[in-house]
Amino acid sequence: MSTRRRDFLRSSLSAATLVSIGGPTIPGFLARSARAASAEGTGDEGRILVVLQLLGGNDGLNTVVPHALDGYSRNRKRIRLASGQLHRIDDQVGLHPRMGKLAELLERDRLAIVQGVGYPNPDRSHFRSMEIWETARTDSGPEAIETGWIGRVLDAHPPKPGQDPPALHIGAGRSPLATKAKRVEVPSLERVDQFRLQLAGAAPEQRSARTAMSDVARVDRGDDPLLGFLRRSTLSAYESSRRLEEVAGTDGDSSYPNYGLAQRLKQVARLIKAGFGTRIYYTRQDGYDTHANQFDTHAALLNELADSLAAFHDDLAGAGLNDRVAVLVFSEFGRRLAENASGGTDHGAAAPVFVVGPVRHAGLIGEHPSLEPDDLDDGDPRFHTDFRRVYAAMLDHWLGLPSAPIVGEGFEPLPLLPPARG
Amino acid sequence: MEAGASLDRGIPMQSSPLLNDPDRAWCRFEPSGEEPWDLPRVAHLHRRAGFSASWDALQRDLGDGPEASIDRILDGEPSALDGSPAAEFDRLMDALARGPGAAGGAAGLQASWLYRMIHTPHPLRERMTLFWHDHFATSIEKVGDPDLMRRQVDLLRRCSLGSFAELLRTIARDPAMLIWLDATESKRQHPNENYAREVMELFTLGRGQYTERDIQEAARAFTGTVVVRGRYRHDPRQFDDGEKTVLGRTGRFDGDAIADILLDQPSCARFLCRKLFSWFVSEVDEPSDALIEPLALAYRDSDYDTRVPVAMILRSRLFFDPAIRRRRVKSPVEFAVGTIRALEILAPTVSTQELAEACTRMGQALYAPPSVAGWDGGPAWINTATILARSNAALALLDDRRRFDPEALASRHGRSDDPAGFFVDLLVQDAFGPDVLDRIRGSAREAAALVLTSPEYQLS
Repeated sequence: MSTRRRDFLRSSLSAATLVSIGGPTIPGFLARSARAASAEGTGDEGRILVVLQLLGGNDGLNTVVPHALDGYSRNRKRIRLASGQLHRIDDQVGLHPRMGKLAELLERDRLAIVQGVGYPNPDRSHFRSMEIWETARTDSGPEAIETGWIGRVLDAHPPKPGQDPPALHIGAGRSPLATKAKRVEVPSLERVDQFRLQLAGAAPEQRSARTAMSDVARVDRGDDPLLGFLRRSTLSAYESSRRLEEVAGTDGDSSYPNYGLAQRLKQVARLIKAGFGTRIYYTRQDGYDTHANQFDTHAALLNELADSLAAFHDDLAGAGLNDRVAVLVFSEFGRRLAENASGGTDHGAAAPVFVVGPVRHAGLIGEHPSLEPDDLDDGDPRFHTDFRRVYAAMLDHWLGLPSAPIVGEGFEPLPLLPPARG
Repeated sequence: MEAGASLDRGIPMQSSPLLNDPDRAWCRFEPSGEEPWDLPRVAHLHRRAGFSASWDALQRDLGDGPEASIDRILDGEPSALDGSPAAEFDRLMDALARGPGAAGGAAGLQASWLYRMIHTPHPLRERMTLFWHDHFATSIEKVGDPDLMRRQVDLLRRCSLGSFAELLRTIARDPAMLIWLDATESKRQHPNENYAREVMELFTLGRGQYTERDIQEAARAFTGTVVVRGRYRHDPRQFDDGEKTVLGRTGRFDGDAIADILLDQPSCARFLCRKLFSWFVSEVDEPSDALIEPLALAYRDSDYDTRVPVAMILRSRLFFDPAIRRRRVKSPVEFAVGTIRALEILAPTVSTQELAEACTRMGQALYAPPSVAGWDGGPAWINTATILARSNAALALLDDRRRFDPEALASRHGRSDDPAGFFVDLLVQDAFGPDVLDRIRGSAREAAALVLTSPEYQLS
């Protein structure tokens, strides 16, 4: 039996002891929650990062719109946004007309927009570009895509037994590559309510059934990695289920719009407000692959994005938690400068990134990339800010974790968020 | 100290030695004293090539031997599990999907396909239809029209164990596929590159086997493609009939010619056989080129008759090597349908609408794969939420007293004295060591719950 396996066995046994004690552990847990919300809340330990990935490649040029640049109106006809409808950011660029709620956050100094974010030699395949963003590596060997950038954070700072999961993916479908770690499983859930094992009978019968099921998974089977993975995942699921049942008592705030994204962010807010110890949340909004007739589709997506982010921000502000939470919004690439013949846009390169929270400088960070033909990267806006400098800011400054081992050397953190006190 | 460790850290310790011995790996499995035709092998055949089977089916095949059992898997049974003759069942199921299925949108299609899988006389054909549904992954969430999705899956089923060449040529004209890839309007002046890219990257060759230039040139061959009101049309005025150079060949190619060029690439058969390997043999062992080559050669030599490599795998020594058991994670559909077939929850069977919702919670919404790359499969099926969804689905089946009585099932098969032993033999056979077996106890219902929620049962 390897050391790791023994360690794991011990840790799962200690968690099981916790479970079997039942009632008396709850005050302990509440005490820990209270600490998380108060004492830890004032320190860097209480800081939380929410990563929001826009799937499909968001058209950055119709999000943060460079209406004053000739290149924009030259290349966009059917899907051009008129400057008068935009929410002004400065003389040159404005936010999409349907992003009014995000414009309000900007006025309240809660939004930073990093322009021209990308990486060298942009890849226009969704899969490859998502891999690059999610692994924070531009090399493509099998080893390079083994872990995601958040996964490597978890491997470098592994959770202690019995703690809440260090990261959670909120949403249906696959857990993102970004959260894939070598030694930590990141749970994935769509709604907190789904975290209930639906056992029949009265409470004592439920308890004994749960114990019997956990006991089967707990037996060490020796050396098979796939089976070991299943065993650990099963135990972790049953344990997280108990924890989440405890904290998710009320449905809470009803001021969220009825969008999928808003509902996912509401789940995140419930966990944060309940003092859950998770520091990194990951969620996604799909649909940005707008090859055809994008005008209305894209407007609806951006409206969902802006309204959902604003509802989340206001919910946390109401609970006095908004200075502990930063949201990073990115997409795997922008879209081509020139619209296509179907009233849509094809896969492009550099695009803006949003940060919502207690930002150091609200507004634009960096210039809008030039749209003059000679300055373009194969027909697309050229990046000037490597996305790993954004990640470095989230790690070094916001979470107080060294970024170089995660994203590599030479990516100076952008001054987006107040530095951790270390 | 960490709370968990991950799968891909460890080197798989009990990999089959046959993986490094292509000649022996693909020769026919012949039962012997050391490698008998036993219950674990019979159950493995059904689990991998179809779905977990009932006790009677296992016992029958145990008696009939590998030859007859594998033939039956490849050709299908004479009658469906509802008792109707196979041809009649297929007609009824086609009509069910065409009528109430498609009328019910995504939920109706999912429910009717699950109903078909639960009763099918030809489980391998359904598993291969699922294989192509994953390969040519198209989602109703974008396509919108349920009938176009139904027609696509009908095409996949028709070609599931037949000609991949025909399937590839036909899918290029499939309205659901073209809508899914935004390729409904590809004109001479503005060739749409999406289909050309995906056909190389995902359908035939895999990344690294072609250049961006090949995609741009091939896109010209697919011009003139139009979908109007759910029908494919070729518009000769919008077709670019000039010369194109694709993968080193030059000519006035059209879409079918591009398909032929792709099929001619040795990497095409290799790419598909790697996928078949992970579908039927192992998701955790990376096969060597040398191991894949005999399959790929046989596939090309047969003009891409999919039955050929599939049969070669199912009859092989490698396939029946105990070391490749539990090297795959059951997909949610395999888990759900297999459990219902093994437990004989048939008359009446479950609400397949509810079963479809359960599969979605487990991570697999049929007709709605997450992306053009399909489902990731393997360990990606497993996370906290999907584990709980699997456990809850199993518990719901066992608690549905109207449809299922575990005591009665064990007693019907002469095992009322040892229901725990019966459910182990039926569902996981020799997978449990003594320490785990000790913990499988209680009433028939309790024992079945412990087996169905065990880590072993999630694997295939």
